[in-house]
Amino acid sequence: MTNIPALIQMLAECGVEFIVIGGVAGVAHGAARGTFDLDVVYRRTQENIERLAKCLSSYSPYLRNAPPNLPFKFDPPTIRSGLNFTLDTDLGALDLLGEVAGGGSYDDLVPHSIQTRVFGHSCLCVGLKKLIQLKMSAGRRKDVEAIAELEALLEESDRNRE
Amino acid sequence: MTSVAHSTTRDSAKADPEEFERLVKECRKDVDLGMLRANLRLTVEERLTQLQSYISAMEEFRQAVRTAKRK
Repeated sequence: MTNIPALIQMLAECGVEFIVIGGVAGVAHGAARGTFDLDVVYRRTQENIERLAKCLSSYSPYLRNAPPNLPFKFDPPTIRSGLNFTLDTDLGALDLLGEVAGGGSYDDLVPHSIQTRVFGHSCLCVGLKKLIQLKMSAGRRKDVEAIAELEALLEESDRNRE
Repeated sequence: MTSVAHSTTRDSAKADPEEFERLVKECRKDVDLGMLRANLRLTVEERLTQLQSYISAMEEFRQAVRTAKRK
């Protein structure tokens, strides 16, 4: 079972630079749709890649839905040679994205993100407008209802600010 | 409040953009604004804690169904 607070705490305590996107970002903004994994965009600097690898090393990261016993090691060379990783960990499902369609890299997304404080840590969460753009760019049919909800949420949030 | 994220559309390849926007527009009328308004009254941490309770409850439910099927 995925432990969202524990995953966020783990990444924040390790000093990993990341931005929460996907369903958890939607919930953080007020969406009612549940999700079962944490999607984050991580910064692809050498230092951050090392922090990420070290951080996850105690949580048995493995490729989700991959056959068991593959010679997979989530270390800096693996992260550098890959980009996006769909992982299962001891804390649950974690999707680590170096880049995201419609949003680009961590540095591209920072200006469209908000700083929030959760579970005793400060972390970045992609802004609602950008989150809608990301889901639109992905263009997946399964996201249709989620986008409709996020658009309604954006209208409600704007109305509350007026 | 957290609703179950079930989809009435197919999780297949990318839809064509016009059709996609039409589908989004169509789904807008089904959005539960009451749930969104209730969520907007919570803090971010409360919303995420609520999500975690939902995940835990779903896991418990899954296990219960799995056990029942074995009997």
